[in-house]
Amino acid sequence: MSTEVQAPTLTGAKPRNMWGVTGVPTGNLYVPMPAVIEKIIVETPDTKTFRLRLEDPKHAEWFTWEPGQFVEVSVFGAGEAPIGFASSPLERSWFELTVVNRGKVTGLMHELKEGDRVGIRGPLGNCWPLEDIKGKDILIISGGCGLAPLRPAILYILANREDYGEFWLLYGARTPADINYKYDLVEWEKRNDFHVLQTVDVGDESWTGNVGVVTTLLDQVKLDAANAVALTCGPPIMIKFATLALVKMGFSEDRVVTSLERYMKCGVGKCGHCCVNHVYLCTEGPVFTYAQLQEFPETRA
Amino acid sequence: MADKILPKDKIPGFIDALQKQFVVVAPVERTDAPAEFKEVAPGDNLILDGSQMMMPPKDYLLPRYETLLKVSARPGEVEVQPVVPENKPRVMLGMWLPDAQAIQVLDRVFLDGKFKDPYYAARRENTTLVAVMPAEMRWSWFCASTDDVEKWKPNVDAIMYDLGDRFYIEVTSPKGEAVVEWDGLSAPSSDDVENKNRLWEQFKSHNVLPFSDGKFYERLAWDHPIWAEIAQKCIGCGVCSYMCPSCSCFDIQDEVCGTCIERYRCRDTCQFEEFTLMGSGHNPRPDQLPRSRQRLMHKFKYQHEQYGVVGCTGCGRCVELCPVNVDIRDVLNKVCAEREPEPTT
Repeated sequence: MSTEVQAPTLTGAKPRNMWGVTGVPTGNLYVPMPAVIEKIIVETPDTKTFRLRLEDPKHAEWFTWEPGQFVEVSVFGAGEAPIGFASSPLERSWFELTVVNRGKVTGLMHELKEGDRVGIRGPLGNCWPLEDIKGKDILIISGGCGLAPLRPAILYILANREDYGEFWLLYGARTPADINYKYDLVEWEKRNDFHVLQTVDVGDESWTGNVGVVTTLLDQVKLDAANAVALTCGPPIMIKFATLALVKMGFSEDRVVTSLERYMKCGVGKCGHCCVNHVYLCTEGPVFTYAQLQEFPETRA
Repeated sequence: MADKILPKDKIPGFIDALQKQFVVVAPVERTDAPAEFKEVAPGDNLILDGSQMMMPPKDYLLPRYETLLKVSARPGEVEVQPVVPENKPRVMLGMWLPDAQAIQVLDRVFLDGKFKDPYYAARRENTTLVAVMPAEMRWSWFCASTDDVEKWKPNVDAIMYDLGDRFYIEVTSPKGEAVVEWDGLSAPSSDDVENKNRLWEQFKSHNVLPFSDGKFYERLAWDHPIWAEIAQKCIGCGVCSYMCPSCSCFDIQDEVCGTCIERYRCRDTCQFEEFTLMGSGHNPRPDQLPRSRQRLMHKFKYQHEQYGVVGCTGCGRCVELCPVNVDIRDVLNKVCAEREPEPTT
């Protein structure tokens, strides 16, 4: 008889707080909490980070969230868009959202100024399993604005550095101008307990670093796949090739965790847009392991 | 529970009596469009016998266009005012039994314990559902193929069977008792009971199709060649889901009217390209094949897995209205005929 104990299967983690499940501070699922834009950071020509503070202290007190979760941000007059948290979860008085200017809502959001108001419904969705992967080596693979939903996880791990093993970040952008959070990357690269590798698809005169897609950096990574967990987020094509490469490196399918993106409206499992097979991404995702995604024909690699 | 007889010439008195207790909602005849469920006003001509196809009752519970919020945004200040309908006692009459069962599906989506939709709840929670069993079965109905229809009875509060010059009102839940309190109703004769039973048997045996075995949803295969076949015919117009009594997907948009912003929701459908199109340009369902598959798999498989109810109740509207004659009944027969269930471990 085998006495071997099966390691518990890793999944996206259940958050402590979720809009509608743990209450709705505005009393109505669809009524957002007003928030003030305290600061706008221009990341790239098409991307800005908005630092927001909830106006009502009662809302602010209720509002806790975890890395990987997201909000529906209202730009009044344009509508709502789902945006992932991009700042440290340890900062309670404000939070940041990184927004790429791509549609009606995000376009109007880019025209807003410091002091303007937006609406917030959230936190929504599940989160990165940061508690479950303590003691493991962590490899983060990210492309373009896909670094945004991973930034809270990175900041959390760095703040609790002794709880985790080796820590690697592979980050790819289209061009040097498209690199997000340059101010963070400079600091992170200085640390000797965090291995940061960057690459761009197309370089310019000033770029002296790696050129090529993000998976080309994997050769430089030295860690034991059997004791490691990978967190990935980026364009679908990047996630696909990164996942296949990781599995080849020896990562088991439930040790590759990713955050999916879908068009969403309600954020509470009703409007139907983010349906992936029998789950709604907004309530049961967006964080899934590769093993879970294999269960959904719609996301099978 | 005491069943009653409503002679058809007493319908106006019956409606008056109900209106003393309830807001009465019923299919109201229109000269320029199909009958639609509305709050009954004096002078309205009601279609209570189920003889006509009407707009589905979801149009009342989940309006095609509904303002959710009014927002006034001035520099330095934002005020958000929800516009929630009043929760008052309502009775809905004249809906087909499959439409009443479809409300069970809507209830699972909108009254789910974790995320109760306050707009739907206000119209639904205090509403008594009275279905109609018409004298003639509609050719497109295939209700008894989708489910054991005996299980549907307690999901409505009463059923009105059309017995020609009278309705037989069968009370199917305690809530339904209030519908038969009016003293203008009489007790049914044994003939009435027999005729009512005959209509029920007719409904139970109407269009029981080859696919129907209570487990057909297990055989809906992701990679079945039928999806490509439908997608070739389908023009993606969405009429199947707009007229479906259980399809409930919606969009939320803002409309600016002067200094006020209205946030409204309106119908949307998985049959449209924009339904899944993201800002990045990526579309996880980029053509009609995955969209056609999504609608049927969602109804027959995913909703059954999520909620334990089949998302289609066989009302036949999509069969009758599809402009390119995609017949969901044929699709199910084909899907289920060619494959054996996958072995379970």
